[in-house]
Amino acid sequence: MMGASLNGVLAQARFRPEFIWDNRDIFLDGVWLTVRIALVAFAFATVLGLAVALLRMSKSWIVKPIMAAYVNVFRAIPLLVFVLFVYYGVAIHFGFSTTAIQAGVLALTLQYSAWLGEIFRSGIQAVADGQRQAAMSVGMSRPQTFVRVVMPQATRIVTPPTGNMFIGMIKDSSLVYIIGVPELLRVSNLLANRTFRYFEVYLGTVIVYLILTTAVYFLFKYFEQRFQLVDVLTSKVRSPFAKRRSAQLRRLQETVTANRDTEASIRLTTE
Amino acid sequence: MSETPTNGSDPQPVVRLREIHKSFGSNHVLKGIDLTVHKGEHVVIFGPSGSGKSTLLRTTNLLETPDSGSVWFEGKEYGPGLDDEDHPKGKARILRQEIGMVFQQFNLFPHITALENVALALRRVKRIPRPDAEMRAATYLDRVGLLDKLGAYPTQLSGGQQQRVAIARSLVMEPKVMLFDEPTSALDPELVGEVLAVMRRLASSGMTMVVVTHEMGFGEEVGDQNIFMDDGFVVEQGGRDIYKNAQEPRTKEFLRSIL
Ligand SMILES: Nc1ncnc2c1ncn2[C@@H]1O[C@H](COP(=O)(O)OP(=O)(O)OP(=O)(O)O)[C@@H](O)[C@H]1O
Ligand SMILES: [Mg+2]
Repeated sequence: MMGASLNGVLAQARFRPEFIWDNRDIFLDGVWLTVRIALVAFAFATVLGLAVALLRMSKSWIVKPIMAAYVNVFRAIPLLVFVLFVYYGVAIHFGFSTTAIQAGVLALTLQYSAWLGEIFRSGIQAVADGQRQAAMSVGMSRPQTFVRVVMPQATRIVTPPTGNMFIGMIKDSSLVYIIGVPELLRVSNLLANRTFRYFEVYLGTVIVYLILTTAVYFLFKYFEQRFQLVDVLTSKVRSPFAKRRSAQLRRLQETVTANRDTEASIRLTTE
Repeated sequence: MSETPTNGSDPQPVVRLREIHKSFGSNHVLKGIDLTVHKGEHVVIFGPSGSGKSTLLRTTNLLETPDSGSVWFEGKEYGPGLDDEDHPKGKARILRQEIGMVFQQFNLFPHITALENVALALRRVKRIPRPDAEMRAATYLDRVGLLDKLGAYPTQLSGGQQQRVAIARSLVMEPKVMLFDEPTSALDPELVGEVLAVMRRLASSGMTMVVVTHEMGFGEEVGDQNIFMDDGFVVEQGGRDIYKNAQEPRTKEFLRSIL
C-alpha cells in the first residue's frame, strides 16, 4: 500500500497524455452510460415538465397550489442530496427492487421536470393572448388552438433555455456517481484511484464532458436555425422540400390568376 | 328558444345583444348594452379608450361570456342562466365560425405563412383537405390583393398587408357577420388607406359588419347605425349625420377631441 502510493507520487512527475488514449475503453463505457442516463432522464423530464406546466396553469384552486409546491420543493433540494435520498433514503431503506441507475434517473427526472416545467410555463404564457383569441375567433377549439398556434410558438421561445437545461443534465448526471452508478465520473474516480494518474484521468474526464456539452450546444444552435422563416417564393431555396413547396405555390398562383375573370365581382382591391 | 326578433317588413336581424353586462373583477365594463344588427347592415362604434368597445366585440362572438344578458345569433340564444337546450355545449365554436373578427394588432400566426394563416381554420375546423383548403385560401388572398405574398411570413409583410391577410383569414370561413376592432389604429398613416379600401368594398358587397373605428370618414360613408359608447353605456346612436349633428354633449365633446 505504502509502496504503491510512493510509486504513484513518483509516476506523477511525468505527464503522459497517451495514458488517456490507452484507457479509452474505460472512458467510453462511462460516457455511454452518461449519455444514456442524460437522454432518458431528459426525455422523461420533458414529458413530465410539460404536464407540470399545463397543470400549473390550470384554474383549479386545488391543482394549482399542489403543482406550485411540486416545483418549489424539487428545485429547493440540492441534487446530490436528492440522489442520496431517493436511492439510500427511499429505495434501499424501504426495500424497493430499484437499481442505482433507476434511482439516479428518477432523481434527475423529478428535479429537471420542475425546472423544465417553469421554462415551459413561461414560454406558453409568453405567447400573446391575441394569438389565442385569433385562433378561437375562426372556430378552433382550445386543444386545436394549443397544438396548432400556441405550442409551435412556445417551442421557439423555450428552445434556447431548454438547450441549457440539457447541457445541465449532462453535467448533473455525474452526481449519480455517489450511489455507485458506473458513469463517466465514477469510472474516472476508480481509474484514478487505481493508477494514481489523477491529472491524466481527470483531464480526460474534463475533455469528454467538454465534447459532450459542446455537441449539445451546436445541436440546439442547429434547431434554432431551423426556425428561420423564409419565403420560398422570393428567396433562393436549395432543399428539395422548399423547391417542391415553391413549385406548389406557383401552381396555386397560376390557377387563381386563371380563374380571376369569374371572380372579378368579388375582388376587394382595385389593383 | 326565444322567438326570432323579426317584425313585419324589417330586415332580418343577424345578431342581437340584449342587456349585456360584463365586469372584470370590480371593473364594470359593459353596463347593459342592447344592439341589433340586421343583415347587410354596417354598424360603426366609436368612443373613448376604455369605454368597453373591444369587450363588446369579444362578447359578440363569445370570446368573453357576459355576466348577464344574452347574445342571439341565427335563432339561438347564448348567455348565462339560459336553458341548456338552447345553447348546448360547444356551440360557441359554431357561432365563432360564422362571425369573423379582425383585430387591432392583426394577430396573424407568426410561425406559418400567409397562405397557411388563411388555410388553417379551413383545414382544422372545416376539415377540408390541404390542397382544396390552400386553393380557397389563395383565392381569398387574391381578393385582398396579396396573391404574390402567399409564401411570406407575417414579419415579412407590412402592417397593411398583415391586416389584409387577417381579413382574408376571417373571410375564408364565409362568415355571416364580420367584426372589426380598430383595424387601422396600429397602422402607419400611409397604410390606413389600403385596409379601409378593402373594408369599403366588403361593405358594398353586402357583408354585415360591426366596426369599431375612429376613422369618422368611414362611418360617414358606410355607417348605417353609428354608436357612441362611453363608460360601458351606449350614449347615443344614429345615422350618418351623427358625426355632424350629434345631440348628446358627451358625443359632441368626443368628436371635437378626435378631430
Ligand atoms: N381581459 C381583461 N381582463 C381585465 N380587464 C379587462 C380585460 N379586457 C378589458 N379589460 C378592461 O375593461 C375596460 C374596457 O376595455 P376595452 O378594451 O373593452 O376598451 P376599449 O373601448 O376597447 O378601449 P380602447 O379604445 O383603448 O381599445 C378597460 O378598463 C380594461 O382595462
Ligand atoms: Mg379596444
